[in-house]
Amino acid sequence: MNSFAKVITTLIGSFTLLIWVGKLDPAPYPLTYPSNFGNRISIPQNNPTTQAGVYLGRNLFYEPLLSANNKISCGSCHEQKRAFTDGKVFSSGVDGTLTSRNSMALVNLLWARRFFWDGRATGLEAQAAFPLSDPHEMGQALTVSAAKLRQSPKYPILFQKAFGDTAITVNRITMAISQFERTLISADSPYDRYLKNTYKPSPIELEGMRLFNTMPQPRKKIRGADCAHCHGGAKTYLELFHNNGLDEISTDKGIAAITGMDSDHGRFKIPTLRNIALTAPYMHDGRFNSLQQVLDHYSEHLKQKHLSPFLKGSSNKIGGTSLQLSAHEKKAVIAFLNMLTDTTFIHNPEFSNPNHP
Amino acid sequence: MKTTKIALLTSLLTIALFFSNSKVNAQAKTASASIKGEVKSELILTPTDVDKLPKTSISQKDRTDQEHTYSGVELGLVLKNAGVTLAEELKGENLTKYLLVEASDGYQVIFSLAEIDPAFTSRKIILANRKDDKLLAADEGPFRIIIEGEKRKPRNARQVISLTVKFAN
Ligand code: HEC
Ligand code: HEC
Repeated sequence: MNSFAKVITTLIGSFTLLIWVGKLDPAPYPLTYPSNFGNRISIPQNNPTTQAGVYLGRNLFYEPLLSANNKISCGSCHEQKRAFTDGKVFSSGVDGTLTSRNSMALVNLLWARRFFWDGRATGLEAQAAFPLSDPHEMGQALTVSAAKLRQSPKYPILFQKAFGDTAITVNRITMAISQFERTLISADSPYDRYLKNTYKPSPIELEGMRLFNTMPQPRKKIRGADCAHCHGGAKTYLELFHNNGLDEISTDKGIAAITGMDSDHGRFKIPTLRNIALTAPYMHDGRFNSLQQVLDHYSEHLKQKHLSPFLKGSSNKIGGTSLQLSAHEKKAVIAFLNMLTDTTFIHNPEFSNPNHP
Repeated sequence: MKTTKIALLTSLLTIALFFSNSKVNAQAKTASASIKGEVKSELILTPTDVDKLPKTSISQKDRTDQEHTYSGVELGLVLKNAGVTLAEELKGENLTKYLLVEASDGYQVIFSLAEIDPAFTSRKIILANRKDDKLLAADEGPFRIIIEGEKRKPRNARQVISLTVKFAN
């Protein structure tokens, strides 16, 4: 081969390589989080988190074109200022009817594996398809959504940047939305700063924190609220499904509706308590309007029939069937719960609607 | 006239009740545990199946310091019956296998195979189906892991519904 041919082949070779690399490896989106969150995160191999993918996902998250009436987006029921909930008992979708459960906070989903109150969806990509096509939520087949986005001037180029070409497919829609959701990391609450030694809690916050993390042992005169048994750890999230004693017989059977097991009756996903002060009303059916009511529930009203073994017999009174906290202790736990509010998270411009800055 | 009506109504009601009842029964599933993953044959075990296997007992104190006797089958035997690589087969890459225990609430605990294999250790780990001779109640059963001499007990998983042998990667 003469030198000219060599140069040409090398040039063509590096050019193809460049296109190939450019296609498959757009700039990664840095996911930063404290080491005490651990690295047990879920990112599918075929959907790495990239700058362009996250930006597309953010646009789609706030895109009403994805709904049958062009009025509802994910952001309608998941508002950033409320830690991605909507402040309603039940949310209304395109057909004007109400969802059967309370909207959930979207926070630190990077560490979650099973989604919804009953954990029925595995993985964010699979989860996203539910609200998009559910007739009571966005009510539009994903193929229709893809067709509508193809007509819109802004999307083909965004898909190209994210996935290498302008094809707008059903899978790419849910993949990009999931990439955006993985970036919704909350790790800058006063509690996080306390764990990093940069925030000094008040005496009542410290008392609440101790109660939150302590199992009551009335025989040993140890008082506690033991919330951490289910809501513990730096993320205040353990992926477990329990019955926290809301009803003797639950109208919404929770995971029992899926497994058919009576022992799963009224069991729901233990939600994260991050930003909990911002996400009222509470529980899968939004029955409590305030944290005071939540504390009253755990303290005095636990229904025993299907109650979680973690809560059964957990009490500050010997033989008690609920926690039996004093009014002051409830206040202390609530003070601690307020330490979980992350204002950096709810004001982060990277999470906001890109069309209304 | 009135009595026939009432009789008709009651019999209708009885029939309705009978059917609604049998429907519930048909829906209620028996709790069991599945043994799967790196096994030669997958198994499904119910608490009554375990009563037919050689049994081992371990006594243990609960939260309120009361002593209870748990009985069940040695975990090593369950894995052996499923054809998991134990004893002389537990070497080389098989030493990178682990057992993932999962409970119905999503709780997960792992053990290395050598921790479970009676050819390696005399410390007993059982898959208990009975506590003080009675089948485990729903909030503890169908099975509970009980580890002999365990000081801190979070690995004593309750409501165990699956045992999966996997390779660490
Ligand atoms: C009409 C209101 C509504 C809309 C629109 C909506 N959601 Fe939701 N979202 C809910 C409700 C209600 C739940 C809980 C439903 C359940 O558990 O059955 C939920 C749950 C979730 C969860 C589960 C969180 C967890 O921790 O398990 C995720 C993730 C989520 N939504 C993402 C989205 C995305 C992405 C979109 C847009 C594609 C979207 N939602 C649109 C109301 C809505
Ligand atoms: C046995 C495990 C368990 C314990 C212990 C527990 N919780 Fe919960 N918690 C749950 C479950 C499960 C839910 C969701 C229940 C539902 O909606 O049906 C929940 C829901 C909540 C909610 C509502 C969250 C939301 O997004 O709507 C708050 C607030 C809460 N718990 C606070 C506490 C506090 C404070 C304590 C301690 C006093 C505590 N929990 C102890 C399991 C537990």
